[in-house]
Amino acid sequence: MKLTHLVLRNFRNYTQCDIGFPQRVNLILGGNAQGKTSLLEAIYFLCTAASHRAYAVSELIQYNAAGFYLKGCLDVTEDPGAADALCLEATKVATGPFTLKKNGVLEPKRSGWLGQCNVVCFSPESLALVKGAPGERRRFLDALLSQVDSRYLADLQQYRSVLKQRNALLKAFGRARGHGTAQLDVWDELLVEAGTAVILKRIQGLQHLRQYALQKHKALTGGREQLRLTYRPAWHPQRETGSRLGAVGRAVDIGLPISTSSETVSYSAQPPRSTGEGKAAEVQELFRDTLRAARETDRRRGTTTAGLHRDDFQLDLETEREGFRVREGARAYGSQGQQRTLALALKLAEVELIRERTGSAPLVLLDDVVSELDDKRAAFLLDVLEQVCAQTFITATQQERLLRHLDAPCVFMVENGHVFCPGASVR
Amino acid sequence: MATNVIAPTHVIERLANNKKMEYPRPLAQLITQLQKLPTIGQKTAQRLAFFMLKLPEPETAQIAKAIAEVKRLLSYCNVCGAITDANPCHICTNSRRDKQVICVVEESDDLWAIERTNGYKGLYHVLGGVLSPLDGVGPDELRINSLFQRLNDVKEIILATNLTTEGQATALYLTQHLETFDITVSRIAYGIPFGGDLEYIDEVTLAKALEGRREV
Repeated sequence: MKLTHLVLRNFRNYTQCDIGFPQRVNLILGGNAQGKTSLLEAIYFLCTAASHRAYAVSELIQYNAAGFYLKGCLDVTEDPGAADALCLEATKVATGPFTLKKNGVLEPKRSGWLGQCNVVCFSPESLALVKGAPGERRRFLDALLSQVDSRYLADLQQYRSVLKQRNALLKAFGRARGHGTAQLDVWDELLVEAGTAVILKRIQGLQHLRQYALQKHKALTGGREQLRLTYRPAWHPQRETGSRLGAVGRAVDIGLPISTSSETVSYSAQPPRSTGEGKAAEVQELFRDTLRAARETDRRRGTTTAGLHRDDFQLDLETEREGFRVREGARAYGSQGQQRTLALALKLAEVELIRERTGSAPLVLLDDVVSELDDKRAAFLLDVLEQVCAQTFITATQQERLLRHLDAPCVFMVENGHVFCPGASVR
Repeated sequence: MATNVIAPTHVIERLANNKKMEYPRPLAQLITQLQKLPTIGQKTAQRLAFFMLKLPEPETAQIAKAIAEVKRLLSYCNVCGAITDANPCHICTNSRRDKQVICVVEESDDLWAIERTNGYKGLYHVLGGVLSPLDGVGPDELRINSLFQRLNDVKEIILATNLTTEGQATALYLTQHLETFDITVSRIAYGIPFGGDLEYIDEVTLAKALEGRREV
């Protein structure tokens, strides 16, 4: 997957901009507030129909403009001879919703849009993956899985619509004991049914992610620390309850063997179910039990406290200290550097996972990241991206240090909403 | 001569008072009323109104009469809840219909859709909506109790609510409550449309069709 051409009209601070990207590695240079990140944002928006930093799409429209227009041309095949072009367009008028067009044909659903061109964005905010609330990690997982699995987002949306109905019912009947029980039974059943597909995909996705994250993390730390990634399902009967935030999942054995590099221990105590259907039935049963057990709490709080909308995964670091293995939560105890390494490992795992599942590397956007990493980590990051052959867009304020790591990148200068390409390639 | 022509005073006054010309009141009223209809916006309403202006008077009277009569002459059937001009409706009173089977639908238009197939000879029950806590619709807001009162001598209930989340919830709710009766409860089949090409079917439908496959 390679972005060859990008057009922006009235997007952020760009009035009109037309750029060709002939190469794999693109270095975007410029001072502060000139439009470097907005350029990456435009690429991200074309791929995902959402912005990674704006809350409302209307924020993306240039000040005083009536709407924005984006267009990207992509080479779908890796093979340069057989150019199979994909043309993505996004238009937003200030007063209406935005429209998406693929090769000139209108695409009404976001779930039908995702997955055409995958993208991974790594910015300083990615640290929230380690430091932030569970919602950040869920968003990361959901964004990743919706890109690699065309059904994932639709399944999740279905779950959310059932959840909304169940919550409305709890609000209406919650305090009246025994009222609406028959209706709750119905919505529980639909919630379980809709949730199972999502849960199974999350289990499988996390398993893959863990495999790559451990590998990347090990390479980054030279094996001195070991990453532990544990799923904390909030739909499981053994979830922790009673915390201030309500039901937060406790690390739970999800009954799946972990097949990573040689020394990784398996988390699984039970033998894995051989068939997918058996696994689905097991998840359904567990989820149903949890909902039933939490029903009184749900009624009191007027909202659904158990379910995959509260899932989380925990990141721990295991180190050898005076002969003991010490395991600590990265969120609370990790140093700034450890957290940054972890976020990097997760992002690289995301790139690898997308490549494995879809067969082609995603576009990688590195927003002000490379300059913040030390030489060794920056080199490792760029090395991995080169190995998987991912087209990369790097923003930075100065180029000297970066050029040491990059082999003949295409350099663009951004200045006040205009992009210049000073030479074919600079070395 | 043209220079001597003077416009009537009221026109001059109106032109002076408001720069924007407005439709004469009866026309404006018709446009506003037409806009109340679903899928009719400002433009369509204007087009319809001007079209009606050109119609001969008996025809506009006919339209008005039809609209008035639809409210005056139609009511909901006391038995099945369908829209009807006789009470009980023609389907409920038809002796050739199989009284042992009841097909449960959301709205009257669903009933007519099934009637058009010409393949169903049983009775109907119109719920008048679906369970949707978000819209404040619970079992009491629907015609569910009146369904339970009709169950004597009934052998089968066919649940033909839509395949939406809410339609499924309603079907599930009814299934759970009908368990106590000695009645066969069935749900309409879903999957590939007739004449459909597998290649073009969306994934959910296809997955559901595979799930609900049956032996031949």
